[in-house]
Amino acid sequence: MRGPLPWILATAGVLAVIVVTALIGNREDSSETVPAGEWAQNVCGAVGVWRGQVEAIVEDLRTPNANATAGEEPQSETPQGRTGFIRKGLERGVQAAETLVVGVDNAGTPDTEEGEEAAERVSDWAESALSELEESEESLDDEAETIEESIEQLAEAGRTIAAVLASGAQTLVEVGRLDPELATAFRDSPTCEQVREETAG
Amino acid sequence: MSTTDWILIALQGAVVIGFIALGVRFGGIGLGLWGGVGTLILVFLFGLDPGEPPISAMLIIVAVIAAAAAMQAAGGIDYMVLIAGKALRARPKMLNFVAPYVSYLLTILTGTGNTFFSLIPVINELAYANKIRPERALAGSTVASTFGITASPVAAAMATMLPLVEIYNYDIVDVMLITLPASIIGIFAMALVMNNYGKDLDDDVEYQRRLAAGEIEPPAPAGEITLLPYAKRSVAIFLTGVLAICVFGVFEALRPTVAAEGGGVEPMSVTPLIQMIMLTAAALILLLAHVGAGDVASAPIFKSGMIAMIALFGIAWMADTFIANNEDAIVTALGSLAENWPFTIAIAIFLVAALTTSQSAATRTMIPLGLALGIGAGYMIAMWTAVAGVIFLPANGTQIAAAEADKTGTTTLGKRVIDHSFQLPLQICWIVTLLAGCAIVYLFFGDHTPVPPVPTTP
Repeated sequence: MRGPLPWILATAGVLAVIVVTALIGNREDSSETVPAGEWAQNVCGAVGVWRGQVEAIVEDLRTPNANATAGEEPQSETPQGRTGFIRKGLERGVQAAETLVVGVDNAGTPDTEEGEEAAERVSDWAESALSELEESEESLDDEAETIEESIEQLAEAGRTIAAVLASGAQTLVEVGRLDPELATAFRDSPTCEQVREETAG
Repeated sequence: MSTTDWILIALQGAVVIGFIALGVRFGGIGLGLWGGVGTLILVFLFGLDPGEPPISAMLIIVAVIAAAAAMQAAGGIDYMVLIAGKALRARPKMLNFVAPYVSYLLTILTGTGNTFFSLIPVINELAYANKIRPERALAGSTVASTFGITASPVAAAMATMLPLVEIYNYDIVDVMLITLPASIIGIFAMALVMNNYGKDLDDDVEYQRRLAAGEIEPPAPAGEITLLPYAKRSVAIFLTGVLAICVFGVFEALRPTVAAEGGGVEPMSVTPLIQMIMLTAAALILLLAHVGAGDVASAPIFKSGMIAMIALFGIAWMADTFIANNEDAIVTALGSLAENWPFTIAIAIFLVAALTTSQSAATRTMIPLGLALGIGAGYMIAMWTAVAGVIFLPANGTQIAAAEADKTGTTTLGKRVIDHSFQLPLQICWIVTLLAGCAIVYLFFGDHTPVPPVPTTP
């Protein structure tokens, strides 16, 4: 096979990928009212994925240099790339929270009595998680004057991640209390079940 | 980010691409040297923090090349050529199919494409000895080894992927049931095209020029190969080394444990093990196959390996300097693209992998975004295979090593940066793999993602 034919086929292939992806479709319910079950499923999915991302970040922070397995690649991530690791972790945390906001927004509003309030609370929590992590990241920009201050900065970053994680689980519990229909939806949703297990775990 | 920031990033990108192009034009260690100049300009002129040279990959090349060169000095390569020649006598072109699958398997077993370095000299010699255009087998195998990552249960990228999809009830077996058959199909399609790609060696102008200029020896007919007394032994030692790497890759419990930072112990990573085992294999070949240490350094494989290492040093360092300073901007830009037009998510994954040369970065940033956009978890797993885009630019160690190993000049890093030998097989393989993966999800996992529950009475 010679000449331009393989390249024409490759271009056609890229177009096929776009068409298939478009056919698979996505969920964009940001301005829509959706059944309570679907909303719970979507919100817990977004929260669960976000928790998974935070788990990976924490795992990376814990992994020793010489034996790092996560993200080990020839070019980009060598053991020496640990400088500014905490900062990098927080940057990734912010990125993950941005994705969480997209997921929560896309979940729409549940069609229950307190649906709007519930959607707003979850959305507010996601937004506040994002801003808290951003603030924490920015605070690392301030140069510490003493070693004690420096350690405090790092400890504060860790506390922020822990607090944001805990407030997420708490928000879901509160939303459940707010509306019995949503409580049932959360109880019946397989993704919420997974989140519950991880939180309890 | 302001327009000025974007202009600066574009200028830095132009420096990277320009120096890769210049390095490719010079060839050999010129690639690494010009990469070093590019790094200097990025650091001094643009004020970027220097990135990290690819130390692990460079050390693996050194260790693997030491073992392969020792085997060559002992006559082991000639022995392998003879054996493969017999096996492939009826259909020599089968090498274009077998080599990619072996490379793929090696990556799956060890979880790192670094193992593929050990096969590069062997595949090159076997192809040339059988008068097969080495580009076909080498480029195909390089691409195939990259796809082994998303099908490997022990790869770092898999560890990054799993926590993201577990919430949707996809475990490691489910992920592999999608990525493994999909990439097997993708590699087959790629090998089918590569099997007939490019001119045969007899018609290749560059190869004929090199032959006429005496830059390369014609392949020796099998009948004229004289086996050295310890050739078989050297092959046995080398292959045992490769096998040991696979065994340690699969069975974590066999690896020595090291202290974990969070307390306790954990198995050592595969990368230093590859280096230790290959150096040991080289030492054993010196000892048991009676090879002089000086003979190793004068073996042709040694020279090409060292050139590859210098080339990788400069180019990958320059690329990492650009990427480490601009990764967030790249991810944000491509993330916005996918957010606004979700049907571009697969292309975005591919491009993030290409522009960050990191499978993990593409996984941890783009997969959650796709899930947040409401694309089914099964389909996101199928699209995850697009992280093979890491070899879109010719800045990866295996690409550089493969191009340097091929003395016929058929495997090239291209003249315009993206027109390298690995581009076509990469495009075919990622597209077919992704489409096959989506078909597998549609046919077998349709209802796997938990559906919203039916409302019940509170």
